[in-house]
Amino acid sequence: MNVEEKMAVLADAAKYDASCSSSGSSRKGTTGMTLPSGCCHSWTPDGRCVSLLKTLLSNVCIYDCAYCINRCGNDVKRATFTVDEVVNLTAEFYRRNYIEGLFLSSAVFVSPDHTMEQMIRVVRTLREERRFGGYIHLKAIPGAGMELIDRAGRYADRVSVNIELPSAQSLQRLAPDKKKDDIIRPMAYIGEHWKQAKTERQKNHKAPRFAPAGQSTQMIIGATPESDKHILDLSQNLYDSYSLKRVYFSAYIPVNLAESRLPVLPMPPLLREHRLYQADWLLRMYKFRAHELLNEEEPNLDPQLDPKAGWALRNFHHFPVEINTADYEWLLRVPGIGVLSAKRIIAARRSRCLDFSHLKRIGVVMKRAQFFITCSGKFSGGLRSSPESVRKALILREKPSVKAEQLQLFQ
Amino acid sequence: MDIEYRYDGSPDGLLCAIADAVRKKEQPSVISGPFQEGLLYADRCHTVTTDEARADEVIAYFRRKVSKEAARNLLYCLAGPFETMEAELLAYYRMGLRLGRSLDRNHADPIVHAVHQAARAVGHEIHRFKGLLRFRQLQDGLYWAPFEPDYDIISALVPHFRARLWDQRWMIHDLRRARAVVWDGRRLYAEPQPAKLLQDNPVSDEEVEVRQLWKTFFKSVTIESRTNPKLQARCMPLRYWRWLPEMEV
Ligand code: SF4
Repeated sequence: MNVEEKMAVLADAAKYDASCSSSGSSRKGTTGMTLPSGCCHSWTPDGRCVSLLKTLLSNVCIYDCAYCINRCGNDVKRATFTVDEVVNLTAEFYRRNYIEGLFLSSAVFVSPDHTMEQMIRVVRTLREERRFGGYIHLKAIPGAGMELIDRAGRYADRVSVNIELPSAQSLQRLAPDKKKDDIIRPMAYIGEHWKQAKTERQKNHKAPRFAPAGQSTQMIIGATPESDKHILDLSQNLYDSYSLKRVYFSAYIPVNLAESRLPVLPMPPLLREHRLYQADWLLRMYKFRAHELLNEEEPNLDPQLDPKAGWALRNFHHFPVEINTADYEWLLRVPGIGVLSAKRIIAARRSRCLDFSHLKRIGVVMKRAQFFITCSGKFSGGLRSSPESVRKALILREKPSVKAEQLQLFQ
Repeated sequence: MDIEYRYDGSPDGLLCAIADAVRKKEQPSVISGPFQEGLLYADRCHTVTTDEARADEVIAYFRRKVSKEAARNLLYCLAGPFETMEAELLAYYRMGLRLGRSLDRNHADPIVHAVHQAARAVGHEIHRFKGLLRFRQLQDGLYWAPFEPDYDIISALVPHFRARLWDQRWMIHDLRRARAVVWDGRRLYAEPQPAKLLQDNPVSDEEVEVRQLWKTFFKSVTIESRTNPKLQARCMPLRYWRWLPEMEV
């Protein structure tokens, strides 16, 4: 098989997992540096951002996960890149500014340790021999030894371990070869060493790096019975305990149709994935806690409404807030006001008293915000004064193209 | 009294016009370039002398008196749609001298808002081309990066690529404005005759191979069942496609 044929097999095999993140790292002195903010180099016809050469090293697998196209029981085309092939592709693509860097993952061939060793050889060659300064994200193989995880962290900007499924029982049922402990242990190791390296570097900027862009993880949504509440609680827990940067959700797409352990869904739960991302965004950027968004009575997110609006309607008695006096934390909680517009409101109201036309210029989404705010005591939400009527109005105003929005998420 | 300012239509010229107005404490009714219509009856018409060094000083002064951010906004507007917003830029400049550091906090002010929007559009294109610029290897080893940006952003892109692709020779080439900047591995310079470097210098064999691999990659990561050309075109406007290998048929 030549490189092009391998590429067709291995890039294709890597495309369904939806994470694409390239952030926060710079390596000066090598071949350049990476942007602090993610940068797209192209967009596929399905509208996803391409920023990394994202591929598997191999799709030959000794494991048998129920949801996976590459599990050993399946009859699919198999390929394995050599170390040099991946190194060359990455370096040449980078020279032409096709990509920001490499995102390397792999099926488990021979053994977890063997696979991980090959992956590390790729990144070591890139960094040490090619002086490659682009972004590198490595997926750690569950079950690989800790000294390998450690080496991965020395070379890569980000190392991630997939949590795969939202609970240990589900993992046991669908991916029996992977042990919960094999996932949590490296995660804890990376979290701890990332933190250590960061503090060290604050004291001495020559101290070695360890996965400076931090770690992320990913789980499949909709293949197992866990509620949104369970998933958000888990995410929050991961953020809190292992210093994760991102938790990615990927809607379950059936590939093994004859698999009896998996549910039959009319279509992939993309809308649910979308709502979970919105809720996750609230946890990370808006200082919400999971219990504010969901509880035992309402364990799942409202598919019709974004979770911030949902929260505001449940807490309707706190609204409207006065734009000219409310503190930053409260402005952030208003549907239609984002982090940027909240900051701008704080800055702009120092020099003048704001009215609705100012808010538009500032970038507030008035069609959502109008029901929750006043400007110098004035209200522009019309006669809607009950949560029910506002809810109806908000649903009407939701973009009809939720589908397009979902796809944008993959950016 | 209606005063008209005439300048040569260049960014430097406009900066000098702004400096003149500030120094003379005048409020021109119109600042017009060579292709713009002036006033039918101006009481007085002042012709601005363009001076590069003075223009640089005008920016430096603004940076000192106001902020880095404000100076960048001004520069971005000058790389962009300045010919339709001379009056706003003068007003922004004046406001900056009056308010100092707090200038850009006035998001609700129409002038500040207009300048921010224009600067954002230019900043957006710069950011886009950090990703969308493509380098192709020519036979003599030079990597050629042609592009056709809406705004004059080549100087904003150069530092980014010098830091990133320092170990290869390249030329970034704005075809719309016929401007090119070369990095020869040690220094940067403006190339007055980019066509010369391209003569008898077709793409290398290696280039053809790598491009083919890139196209294969691009095709393999596309999820066919979710194709959404509108979304793709929104993220990546059609006018940029011409120089993207993955969009070649
Ligand atoms: S280990 Fe990875 S590649 Fe192998 S079957 Fe499981 S999910 Fe698929």
